[in-house]
Amino acid sequence: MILKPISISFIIHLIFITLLVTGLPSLDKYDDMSVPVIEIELINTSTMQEDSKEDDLKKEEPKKDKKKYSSTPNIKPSMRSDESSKMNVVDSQKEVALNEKMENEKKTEKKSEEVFSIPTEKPSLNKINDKLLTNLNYNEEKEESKKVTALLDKFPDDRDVGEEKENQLEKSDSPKKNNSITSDEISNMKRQVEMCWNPPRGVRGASDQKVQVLINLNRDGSIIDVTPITRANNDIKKIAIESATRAVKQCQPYELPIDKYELWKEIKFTFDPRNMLGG
Amino acid sequence: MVYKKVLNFSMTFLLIFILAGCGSRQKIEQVLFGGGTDNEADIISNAIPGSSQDFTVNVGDRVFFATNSSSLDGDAKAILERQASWLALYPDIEIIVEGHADERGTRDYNLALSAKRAQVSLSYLESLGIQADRIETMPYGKERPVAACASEACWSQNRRASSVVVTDQ
Amino acid sequence: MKKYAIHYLLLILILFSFQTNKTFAALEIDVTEGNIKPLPIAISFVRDIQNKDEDLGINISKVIASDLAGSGLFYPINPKAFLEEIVSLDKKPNFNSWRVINTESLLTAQVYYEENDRFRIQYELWDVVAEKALIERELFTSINKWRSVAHVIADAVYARLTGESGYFDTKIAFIAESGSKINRIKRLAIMDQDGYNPRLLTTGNDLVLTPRFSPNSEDLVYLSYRNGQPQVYIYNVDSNQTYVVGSFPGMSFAPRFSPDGMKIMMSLQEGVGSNIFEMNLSSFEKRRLTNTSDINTAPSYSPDAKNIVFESDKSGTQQLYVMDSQGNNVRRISYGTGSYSTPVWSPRGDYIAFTKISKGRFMIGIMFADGSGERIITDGYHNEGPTWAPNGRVLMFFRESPGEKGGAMIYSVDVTGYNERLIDTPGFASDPSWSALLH
Repeated sequence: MILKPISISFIIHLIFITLLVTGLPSLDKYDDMSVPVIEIELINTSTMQEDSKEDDLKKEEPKKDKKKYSSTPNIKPSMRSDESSKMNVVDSQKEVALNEKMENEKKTEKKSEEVFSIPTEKPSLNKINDKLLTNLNYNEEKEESKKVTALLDKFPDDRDVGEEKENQLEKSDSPKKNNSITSDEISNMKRQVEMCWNPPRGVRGASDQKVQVLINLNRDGSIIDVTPITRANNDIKKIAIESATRAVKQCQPYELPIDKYELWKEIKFTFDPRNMLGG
Repeated sequence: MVYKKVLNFSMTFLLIFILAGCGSRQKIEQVLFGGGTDNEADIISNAIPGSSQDFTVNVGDRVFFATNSSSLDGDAKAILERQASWLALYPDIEIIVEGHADERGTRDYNLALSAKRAQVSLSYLESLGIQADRIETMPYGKERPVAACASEACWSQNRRASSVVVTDQ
Repeated sequence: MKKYAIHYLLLILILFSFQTNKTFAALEIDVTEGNIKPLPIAISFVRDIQNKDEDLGINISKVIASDLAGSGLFYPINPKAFLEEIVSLDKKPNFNSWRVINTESLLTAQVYYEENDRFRIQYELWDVVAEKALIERELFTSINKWRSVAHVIADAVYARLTGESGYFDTKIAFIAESGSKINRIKRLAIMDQDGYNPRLLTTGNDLVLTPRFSPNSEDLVYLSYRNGQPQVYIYNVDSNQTYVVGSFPGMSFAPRFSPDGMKIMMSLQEGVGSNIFEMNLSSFEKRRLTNTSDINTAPSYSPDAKNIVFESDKSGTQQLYVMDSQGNNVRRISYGTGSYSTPVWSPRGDYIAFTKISKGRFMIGIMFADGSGERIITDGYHNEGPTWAPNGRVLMFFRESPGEKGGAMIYSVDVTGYNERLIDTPGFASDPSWSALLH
């Protein structure tokens, strides 16, 4: 045939350029619209994953020493189980692997509990809620839970090993699926922030104080900075922004799958108290 | 002429009551409001005619109202008629009609309601021939109950207009 | 062909990775639920080493804590839990040691004694999560006003952290009650909003009722039986002087100041009915606002003085009506079951508080000025006579317990119906009236 290499290449390049041009404007719109929780579909390449994995490996050494999960030990169990439930869908092979992993985790956790004879019930999200109310008690308990965390510092290692397994599996199987932030992961994070958000109330139009903030996260889930998107044009708005800022700061670090760091390194939060405070 | 007729009528009325050893209602009132003793005859004979005691005991100084109402029922009218007769007998005596309400209302409204009760009683006495300048009204709202229990038995006693004989002091 | 296919794939990959980076720059999360709880606050004053027993700072901090806790919006943390002792305001607090005890804000202060029994207090409010100063201020006054100073600081903290003005530096006028229920002795009295510094203003020889503060909180208008007939009087709180507001053939009652303090609205008894009048306090001119033979009473101005809410029994039962300041345009606003009375317009202008009587129960409620959005705040044997805090967020009212031994006590409650608290008074107390902010 005569229309050969060059024509094909030309056509493909044309497609590429068109997509590039038409694809970009939609991004701006995307940012402007305050769309409720957005479904994130993903589309990624294994190259990217390799990158992040490499980063992980590089960081692994110092990580062991850092007690970076220390302030959110309570959130861990539920996060993990949620994650696993989502992953169950992926494929049977992985499921088995994960279940094993989960069980291992549980064992470690149990062990640590026995050793330190810490209250048998696992702290849960709701627990935190109750504890915050009885502040003083909470302080004491928090100290205890810190000990647990200290012991659980193995945890990240387990996790990394698990991820490595996952990565291997993914390479061979369906690479697409695990690369989106799942709705479970989003709702976990959402729940975590909700725990820390104490919106101003009792002010005129308290329920109308919808504010947006943009957060930048480190790989370990801690916050780099918080930038208000909403403008503080009056005292009440200012206080609403402050309460949103406190919420995201108090709840850090966030436990998100590190292999998807690129997807969550920047998050836009919309805080809308209408539901809670009534119209 | 009308004045005399009323007077005659009332006098007869009064006489019948005295002879009958007082109506049952009066007995109850005496017991309730501390006006009565074991021996009624003593009081009747001891009360100086034309005194405030005479008025309270032998005529009946108060009328009662239904909840949130200021209209006079048959009993209330009868008592006011007796009061009018008595006042006619002693033309120099002046009275104050005190209006009262029970505790089951709000402060301002009860003041207004008690004023209305006193005013309605005054108007009725006036219609029976008593000159308005002999009667003053004094609203007390719910501030001066005679019975303190938290039930209708007490509240009904507090919803009242009491006529008080003005003594010169 | 293979070669081109790879070329093609590569292009697509680049394209996609490009898109991923851009399109999903920000993940978006909507937070619609929160964890509503009182705002934790730590109050730490620099200790006074010389006057350990009479530490003014500690006393002030206790009053601030009590004010803030009493609002229901704050949770003052027990000082025993503090990990850092503030020794000077010159250097920033160690935020971490405050975050660890789970506080979100920190109030630090230091007292300096000055000459002539005066003192200076320097205070700072910190957001320990954001690590920034929210307030840095100083006050200077005489030592015997230390409670007021505490209330002023509490108001500043409240305002800065909630966005609404405070209400702690205020007074309550009320009727102090004593004696048997049959022959109650009633005295005019005032106290601080938290029940402290009660002061009796009248002897109790004359029956007095329904005191209400003037907008500048210097005068009280009230009902007294002083000269036999119940009449409206004004009492000047500073000079202890009393004067009568006009002389009328019948009873004058249910008085209230206009928002500018230049006029008094009240009811005058006219025969069997009562009508609402306005009396100009400089010209003593009387202006009629209602003209019916019903009971029209308990008038209260809207804060912009354009409308008046009052109660009338013209429909057969007591109901609430709104009219304009000329007495025109009368419209009924209460339509629920039962009767409504003692309406009071909120200083914010949004709500009208009232007493509602239904099925033998007395409730305190609020509704919007057009009568919509009725909400019952408290319900019981006998609740009556609401009054608004200057910020329109809190109400006080009195609750009467039944029977011979029963009596009235004053309570405060949030407009949401939460956080009901008994105000500690020396004896029975009724007819509360909340002053404006004093500072």
